[in-house]
Parts: sequence; C-alpha cells; structure tokens
Amino acid sequence: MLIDEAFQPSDIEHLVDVENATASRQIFCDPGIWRMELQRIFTRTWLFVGHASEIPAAGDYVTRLMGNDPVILVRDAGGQIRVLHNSCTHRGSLVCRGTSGNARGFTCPYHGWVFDNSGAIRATAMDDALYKKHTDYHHFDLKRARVGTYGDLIFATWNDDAISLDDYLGNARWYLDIMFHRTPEGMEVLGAPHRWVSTNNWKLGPMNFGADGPHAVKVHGPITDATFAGGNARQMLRDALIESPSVSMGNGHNGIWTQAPEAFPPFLGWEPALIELFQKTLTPEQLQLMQRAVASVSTIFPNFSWVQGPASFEPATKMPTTFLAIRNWQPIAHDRTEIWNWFLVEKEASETFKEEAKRMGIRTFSAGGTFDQDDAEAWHSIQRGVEGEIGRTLDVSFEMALAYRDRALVDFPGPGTAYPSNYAEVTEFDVLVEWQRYMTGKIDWAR
Amino acid sequence: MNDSEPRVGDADYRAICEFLNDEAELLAERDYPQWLSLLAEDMQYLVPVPEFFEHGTARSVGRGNAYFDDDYPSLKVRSELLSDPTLTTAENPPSLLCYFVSNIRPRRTANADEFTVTSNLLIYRIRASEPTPYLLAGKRHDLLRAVAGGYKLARREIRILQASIQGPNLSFIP
Repeated sequence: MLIDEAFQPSDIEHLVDVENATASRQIFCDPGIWRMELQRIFTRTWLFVGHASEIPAAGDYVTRLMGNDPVILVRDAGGQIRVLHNSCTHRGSLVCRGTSGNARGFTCPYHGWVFDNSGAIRATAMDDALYKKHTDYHHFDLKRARVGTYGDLIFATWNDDAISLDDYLGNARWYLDIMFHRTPEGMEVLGAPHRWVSTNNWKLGPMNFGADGPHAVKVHGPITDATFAGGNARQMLRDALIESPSVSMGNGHNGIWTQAPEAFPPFLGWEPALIELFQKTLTPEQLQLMQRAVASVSTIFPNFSWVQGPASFEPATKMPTTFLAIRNWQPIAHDRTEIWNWFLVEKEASETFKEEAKRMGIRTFSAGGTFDQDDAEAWHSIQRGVEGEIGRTLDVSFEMALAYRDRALVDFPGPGTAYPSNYAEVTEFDVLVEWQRYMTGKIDWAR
Repeated sequence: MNDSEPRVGDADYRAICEFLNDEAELLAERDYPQWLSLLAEDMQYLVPVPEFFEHGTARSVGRGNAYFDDDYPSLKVRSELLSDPTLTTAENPPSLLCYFVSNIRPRRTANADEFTVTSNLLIYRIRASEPTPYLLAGKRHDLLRAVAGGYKLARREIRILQASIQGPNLSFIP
C-alpha cells in the first residue's frame, strides 16, 4: 500500500497549528509520516550532497544519501559534477560501496555491469545487441539526479519540476555568502564527514539549528563556562541569546546570529589575514552581522545545517579559534537520524589555523563533541517522551512565537524577516510550517 | 603495528599489562581525575574517522577527520565535565561502562624509557535512557613513557571499527 493512500493532506494539515504555534507530537513518531516525508520532501526538494573540495579532480567520488536513496557524488572525466543513483540498472545492487575514491567508473558487484564516472553504461554481462527491446543502449545508464551548485556547495534533486537552486535558496544566499564566500577562494572541507546515529526523529536537528536559543543555556551552559574566559560566561550567553536576532530567510530556511557583548573584540576567533579578506569580500551589511557573531546557526530546509563559533580549550591562555561545521540530518527511520558532519575552513587560512579550526570543531560539534553529546541525549529523551500512546496525542509548544511574530526588526541589515531574540521560537517553528506546506501539497513544483 | 621493534622483558611486560588494566578500570569507573594523572603533559589523543575504499580507488577526503583530537588541556576539560553529572546532559545519570582490553603487545623503542603498545579495545556501555547496549571496538596504538614509580601515557590513537557511530554520542573517553 502506498503511504499516500493512508494519509491525505487533510490528515496532515492539522498536525501543525500555524496560528497557535504548536505541533502534534505524532509528526516525530509515526513511521507512516516518515515514509510520506521521504516521498513528499526528500524526493522533491533540493538536498545538500557535498562540497566541491571533496571531489577536486576528475574521477574523484564520495558516496552520499538523498533521503533513503544511496547516491555517488562524482566529478566525471570531463570535469562535470554528477550525482548518480548508486543502484545498478540491471538488478539494483549498489555499484560503489566505498566512502570515497577516484575511479574511471563503477562495476556492479553482482553481474559485473560497468558504468563510467558520468553514469553511462559501458558493459553488460552479455552481448549488448541481445537486449532487443532497447536500441538506445543508454537506457541502462545509472539514474542521474539534477545537480545544482551554489559556489562550492553541491545540491541535487530528483524533481525535474523543482525551481532553480538559486530560487530555492533565495534570501538564504546572502547568509550563505557570509559563511562560504567570505574570502576570494572560499572554503575547503577538512576531512571526510563524521557519521553517527542519533536516536530521534530527523526534524529535531533542523529545528534545533533553525535555531533553538534557549536550549543553549540549559544544555551548553557548563561547557560554555569551561571554554570561555571570564567568570559568568553562561549568563553572558543567556543575555546575548535573548538580545540577538533570529532570521526567517524564506522557503523554510531559518537561523540565529548571536551577537557578542560589547566587551568582546570584533571578529573573535579569526587570524588577522583572514579578517582583512572578509573586509574586502563581504558587503558592509554582511560584515555588520558577522563581525560580532559568536554563534551562527542555521538550517537550509529540509536537512542541511551549519554551526559556527569561536572556541578555546585553554581559555585562560589561548585565544579562541572559530570553527565551522556543516551537516546533513539523514532520516534513516522515524526515530533514527544519521548525522553527517563536516568541518570547513577558509582556503587562504594558515596551516596552523586550519588544524586548530578542525580541532575546535571536533571537540565541540561531533559525536564526541562537548556540545553535541548533550544535544543528542536531549533529543533521545524527547523521542522517548513523545512516542507513547498518550504522548503522541499531545502537542509540542512553540508559543513563544506568539509574543514575537509581530515584532519583526525594521533596521536589520539582511534580507528575509528578522526577529529581536534567539529565544523567539518563530524561526524554529517556521521549519515545521514549511514542512506542513510540502506535506499537504501546497508547493506547486513539489507536489 | 609495532612488530619490527624488540619485545620487552618479563618485568616490563607485567608492569605494562597492569598499567593498561588499571587505566581501563579508571575509565570504566569514570574516575577521570585519577586517569588524568596517568597522562604525560604532552599527551596526544586521536580517534580517526575510518574511511572505506574499494580496491584500486583509494582516496582520502581532505586532510582526514577524527572523532577525537585531544591534548592534555582538552582532556582536562572533558575530565571535569564528565566527572560532575550536573555539567552534562549526556552523563546524568552516568552511563555504566565496561572496558575490555586484550592482545596487549608492548615493544621497546629506540628510547630506553619509551614503549609502544598495541591492544584491542571493546567498550560496553549502558545509558539510563536506553536499554540496548552500545558497543565500540577499536585497535589502540599507545606510547608509554617510564617515569619514577610507573608509566605515563604519552600518545594514544584508537582506530575504531565502525563505519558510522551507532549511537547518539561518545560522552566518555574511549
């Protein structure tokens, strides 16, 4: 039975109460809703699949997920970036089982069908002419996803009707430029992605990074105290979160820009040569938002997020270094999310800075990270708390949004709609508002 | 592997095995301050992210990533956080941990007071909120330095045997 036969838009509509800023807990614990998300969101939107610096040369590839479909992100022999369905067109086997590599093509492990690195069929197990029905041999090419790039960020979609990636990102491009295009050369990945499985519904990640200000004080207060010099870092964090802007960028893209207290120097955590490049590359408005941001956390709908901030594990003696993590929240089951997590750094950064930025990222935002380890337990606790027969009849609350949604900032430097607090819950809830639009077929090109 | 290096004598073998067993028990009992006292000040602690390559196509991404890349000061921060249940969400209540260390193979080095030791590691972990045990296996490559009254751990690299960490966090020290 198709899931669509079990759920109609009218069944989904009421699960997110846009007016009252609440949502049914059922959206986190129903396997049927998860399957419907894979169909209505993950086969329809643009999805982040990797960074161009992961596949710098012809033949370079990495294996990825789009929803629950395995794909190969590869730079073909002609230099074109391809996203190939990792499934043989004969009987369906994975044609590549490594995490990364360089190859002229891929050979199916079952019958030895061969595909070149553009996905074109090169050999079957027997004389090709015997496939009488298919005069066009390329009938057997690997299925190719549509590829879109924004700078070195690579996205893909299965949806030929999807609006262009530029239009899909929309206002978010202004913010993506701050994160990924702030120097002439741009960013590079520092290594293969972390992968770990958190035991919660995938939406908790994009919402948290969309972003949840108040959890930071409760969950991350102690590590903030330990990694920031000065007596009352936690209180300073709380004050900063309450007074800093959250931004709804449109199309379900949301985030926060936590501004440092007055006493902090601008551009905390970057080396001087990089700061000079930022000042030459970004606009005054972008610099205004960036230069005092001690945390930048955002989600590009549906499952791509970033987190950036300065950190030092010897705060009394060592100035902080800013790390940047990007991640996918892969919906591997209704109650399981595989987190794919990369660290990025400016290509122009010194060797010392690159290594330190990687270390600060690993020590904070990763499976063993002093920030992530606690988020994952909180999300696990939510999943266990909502999935009972009584639990799923209740709601989750974003009702702080009711106090803030009419208080859009008028003097905010960036596009989209900004609200005056990281505690506002407006932008975090907006991730679910967008979710509802896809799930109920309200977006023409994604229907 | 450290097979090309000469084996140690009986006394060193026994002392190194005891050191690693005692050290593992401190981690399992979450006695992190005491564990920290076994580390050299120049300690390097690394748990790389494993990559998997099909034959003939091997290529790492970037400069390689790690789940842990720590030194003495950062392990001290972790030790302080993990020792106090009020400082983490992940370890309140604290996990139950059991460390299995086996195949301990110490070797001498060109430095009379330093030994390389490889060993296998299996960690069994139970969290209060999750009845299913979490298992993490790895191959350890350690550098031990002899000091007055015992050894200090100067370097540890753990090559973990997992493509994807099958749990929500690593809020312990493997």
